Amino acid sequence: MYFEAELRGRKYKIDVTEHRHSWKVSLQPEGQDWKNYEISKTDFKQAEEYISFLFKGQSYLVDVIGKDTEYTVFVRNSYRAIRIYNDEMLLHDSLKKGGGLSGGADLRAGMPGKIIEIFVKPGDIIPENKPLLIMEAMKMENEMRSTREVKIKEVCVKQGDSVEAGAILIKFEENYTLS
Amino acid sequence: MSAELPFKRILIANRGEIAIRITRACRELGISSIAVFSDADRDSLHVFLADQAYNIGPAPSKESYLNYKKIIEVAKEAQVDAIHPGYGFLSENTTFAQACKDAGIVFIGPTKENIEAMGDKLSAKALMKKANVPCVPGSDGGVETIEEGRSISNKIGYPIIIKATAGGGGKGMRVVRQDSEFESAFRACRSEGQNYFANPTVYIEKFVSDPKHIEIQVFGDTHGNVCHLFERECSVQRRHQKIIEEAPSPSVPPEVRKRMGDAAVRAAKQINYVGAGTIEFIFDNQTKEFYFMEMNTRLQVEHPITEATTNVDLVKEQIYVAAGRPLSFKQEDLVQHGHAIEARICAEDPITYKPSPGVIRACRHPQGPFMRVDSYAYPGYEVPIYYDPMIAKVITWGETREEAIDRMQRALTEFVLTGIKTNIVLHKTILDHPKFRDGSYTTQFIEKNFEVIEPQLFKQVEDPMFLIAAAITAYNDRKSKDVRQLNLVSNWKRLGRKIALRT
Amino acid sequence: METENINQTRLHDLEKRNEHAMQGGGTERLVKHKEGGRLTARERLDVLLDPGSFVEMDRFVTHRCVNFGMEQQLVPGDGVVTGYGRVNGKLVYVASQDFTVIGGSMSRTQANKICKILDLAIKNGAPMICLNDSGGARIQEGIESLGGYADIFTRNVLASGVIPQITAILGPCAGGAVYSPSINDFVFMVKKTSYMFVTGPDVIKTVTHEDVTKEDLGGAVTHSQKSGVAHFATEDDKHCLLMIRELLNFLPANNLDDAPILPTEDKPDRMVESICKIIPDNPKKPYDMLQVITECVDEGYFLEVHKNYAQNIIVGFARFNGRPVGIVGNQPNVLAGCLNIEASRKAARFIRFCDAFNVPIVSFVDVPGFLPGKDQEWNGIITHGAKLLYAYAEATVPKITVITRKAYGGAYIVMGSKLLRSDVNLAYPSAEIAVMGAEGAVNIVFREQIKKAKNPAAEKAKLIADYEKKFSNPYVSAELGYTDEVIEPALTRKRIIDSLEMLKHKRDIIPPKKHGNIPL
Repeated sequence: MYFEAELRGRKYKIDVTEHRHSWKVSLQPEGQDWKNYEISKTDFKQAEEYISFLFKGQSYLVDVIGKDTEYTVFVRNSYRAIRIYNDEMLLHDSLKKGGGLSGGADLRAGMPGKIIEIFVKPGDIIPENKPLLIMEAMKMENEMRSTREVKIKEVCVKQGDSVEAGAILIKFEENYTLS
Repeated sequence: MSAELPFKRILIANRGEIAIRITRACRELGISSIAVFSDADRDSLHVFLADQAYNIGPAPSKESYLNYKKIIEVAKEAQVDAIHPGYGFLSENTTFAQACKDAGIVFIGPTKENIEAMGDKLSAKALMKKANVPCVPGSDGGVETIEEGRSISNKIGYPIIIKATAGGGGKGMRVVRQDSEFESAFRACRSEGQNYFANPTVYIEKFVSDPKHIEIQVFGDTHGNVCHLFERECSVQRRHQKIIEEAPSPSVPPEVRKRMGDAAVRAAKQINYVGAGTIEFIFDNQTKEFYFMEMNTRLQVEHPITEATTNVDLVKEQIYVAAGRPLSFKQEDLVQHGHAIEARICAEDPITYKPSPGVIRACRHPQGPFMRVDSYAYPGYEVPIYYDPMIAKVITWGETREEAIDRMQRALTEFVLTGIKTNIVLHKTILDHPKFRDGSYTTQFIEKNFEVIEPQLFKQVEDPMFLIAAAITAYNDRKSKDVRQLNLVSNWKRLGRKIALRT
Repeated sequence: METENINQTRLHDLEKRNEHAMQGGGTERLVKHKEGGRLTARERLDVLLDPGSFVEMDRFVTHRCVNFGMEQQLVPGDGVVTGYGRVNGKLVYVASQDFTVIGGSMSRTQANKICKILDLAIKNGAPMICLNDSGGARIQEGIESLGGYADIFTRNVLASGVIPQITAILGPCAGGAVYSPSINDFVFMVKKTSYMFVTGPDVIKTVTHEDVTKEDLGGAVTHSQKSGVAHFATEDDKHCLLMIRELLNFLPANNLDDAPILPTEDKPDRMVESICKIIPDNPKKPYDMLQVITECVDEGYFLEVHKNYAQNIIVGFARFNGRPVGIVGNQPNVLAGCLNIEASRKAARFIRFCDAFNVPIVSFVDVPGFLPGKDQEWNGIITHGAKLLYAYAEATVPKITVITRKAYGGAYIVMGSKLLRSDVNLAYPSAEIAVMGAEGAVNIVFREQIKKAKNPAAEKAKLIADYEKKFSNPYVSAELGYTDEVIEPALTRKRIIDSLEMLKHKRDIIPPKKHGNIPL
């Protein structure tokens, strides 16, 4: 299994392969070469609350706690916080507590309606989930928000306008990313 | 023994390791121990070890351990004869002491008058002067005006420190090194005194430049006897929180020790002190002069190192004295033997000092010769967020100071505590530091001379070890999603077999 | 000693043949393929399947065509890599087309390979995953290649509802080839590098003179937003394959077994107070139903299906206390949560998939009605709305419905109401379960009274207020037993988990029939 990790501000690539009696772990610190380690399963023994790890002849009593992508490794009363992740874990995490409608390059009217109030103007940078305008439709006041931080490129309607379903209301700057 | 003592049942108005300490003394004396606990402490070790336990309210201290009305109510219900307040919480609360008296329960500690006398710093100083105890040269009273302050300061000689009389914990005090800085510091202290302690009175003291915190343990009984049990040095501290204490102090010459002890006894006698108490001195390591700072009218956290070097059980002695007995020892019988060190193990980040509550996973206390561990940690215990982060004290004794230090290093290496962050690595680094080893450290040690850099603390363990352990654990965590280990029964197969039988 | 030498040679020979087969269409073509930002057929399987779990079958199969000099172009594997492997330990069967081999075109023998795997999947009750990347039928083979497609389609149909079938379109997919994906349960596409259509832009240009690009006509965005043919539009091959892995976590192996219940640390009795903050007091103000859903499910994890199509209804998979469920929810943020043609179709198919594979269904309802309009009526909202009702009524899996706010008229009945054989019906105190909104009802019932009144507007307002008090609440429904329990929103998660636990051995049947006649 392939992972990327961050420890004390440094990035690493890690590859873990399980064999019947041992682990093959390869580490590549950023910008350096791969280093391979073969760890026999008797050297890395897991009990319920700790791991006894014989590494390069040294005996370590290790405890690893954490889940998803954040782990803390305790040993000899010192600890390190490690972020460990791979694409699949990141994708799985991204599906948690998502929000709202998919982001696009513009905000469109989902249905015919009337523009009641507009809160933004071109050039504005609006944080995620803040209302952009209010449109009245289907006897409801729809507060339309963006699902991510956006920069307003163009406001295509004005207060009082009647719009069709699918009409473009606001255009966002493309390729706008957080600096 | 309890047949001779008037106490059959004692309530311990405290928590954590000190509650366990008092429980142990009670048990040795055949006295029933009654523990109290807040909602957050239901699973705390002191509850398991005592004979009885009562819930006294929600987790926040104000609603439980500081709720003296509730504690008295519980004490009456449990029909206790005495209450031991431990340290902190209500141990120096005169209202509580009075309430115990009113309820006919013995308060194991000094009298209400003792506590009041030493509670106000200015009046305490005045009493000390009467007892001929050297005090820090200073204003001998509140300073009203800037002119008065500057004149006193120039007479004593800079550097000086301005302090709010009701202040504490570092608030309301400013060091002034030269005359030009005096005015702004003066104004700042007065306003802090008013804002934090509702009392703008400030006084001035000489500021000692190589200061060490040396304190003398004293003990008085109701028959007028007072003894001292020598000194403890507590200069390893940060923001007035002690980290490491040792006895005896490596910097106090024997002759000065005698003078300090005698002065402490005079101080205690001056106020007819009853029970265990501690006189804190500020010790100038250059001149070897000492000056009275304040008196703590209670048992202290670091009492074990006095017990280790003088062979006196201080908590049992507190119970004896509260029962009206004279002190079990005379001054001439007491000697300091060997050297003891105490390390306060706290659930906090060793670099940022931020508290680190959480669930303890593995916990193995150090054992072996000349070792004492007063702890309430155990595997699976959840360290609560509401209280002091100290979870254990490790005390080592050695014939020499070097032996005690080496033993402590050994103990700290053996001590296993995982699942939460602890400051064990901080202790190990302090014990290795040359300024600690040669004894020249002052109260400025942690804040000025001691730089906490990560590589220094963690230099023992290499990065690949961490990465490999984390990677294999992450791999195993991912593997646990593998359905094969769920051993599912296959309906598909079963129905298929059944259908196949029909033909 | 002599026999030993011969065996060595044979082993070497096998090794060489294997290596040659792994090359697909040759290194040059592989490199060019990757330059387009796509993974090779074998690389895709490496990403999709658990490391080391793939076993290939029919590696050396070649075509038997002798037209047009095809016998000169014999490539082992014939443009598709087939076999089986594991996804998170679960057995799956796979076919991955190789675009570098004669354009990945479908031949009789390629179809044979895929059919063999499909047959194995049906026999063994495990999901089938097809990774499409093909130029279409191999013209040189004539109708034999079409016959190959037909064989595949037939098996897709026979396997439909027996094993989950997933297709990923990772390249071109045109003409007849599109039918296999559309018969499958879930279709994945990749933005910018994949497209699907029956007739391409060139033919369209000649016949109707319309100008359109491949991407616009049948790209991932088009099919995931406009036509609804694709359930997922992903960023690249890797993202697509990882999403398939996520989806497979929720699907059972076949129609008799259950999807695995995975352990979770999210407590089953967790209170969800935040729902009260999400649903506004003012019934005119919309909110995001997705937030309500993610607050209730385990770890806030929701795998949304058909995310960009008919956004006025939400469907997807999540877990409650480790148990996978299918979730349907009206989205008040879009079209006020009204049901329309697309939403009805989207939800109906999803519900029928869940029913076929024993996945319980949890519905979150906030629906003011069906979308009015000529457009809707002329395009058959009647028929399509009926699909949704049919799907709900027919389903025999545990069905739980939570009405959060509005539930008016026919739409209330359609969205998993009690009388459609729903098992547990819950409603919030903010629910308004009525035959229609107060204003509409008053207009009809009290028309004469309002006309005759001294102050019609005031009279109407008073009548509306009265009506709201009497009917715009969940209690009438509760009194009738159409709602089992009115709960405070914070209890939602706990109650749903209680219900699922209670219903886990549910038995329900429909009268025996060859199959119903759902209004298609």
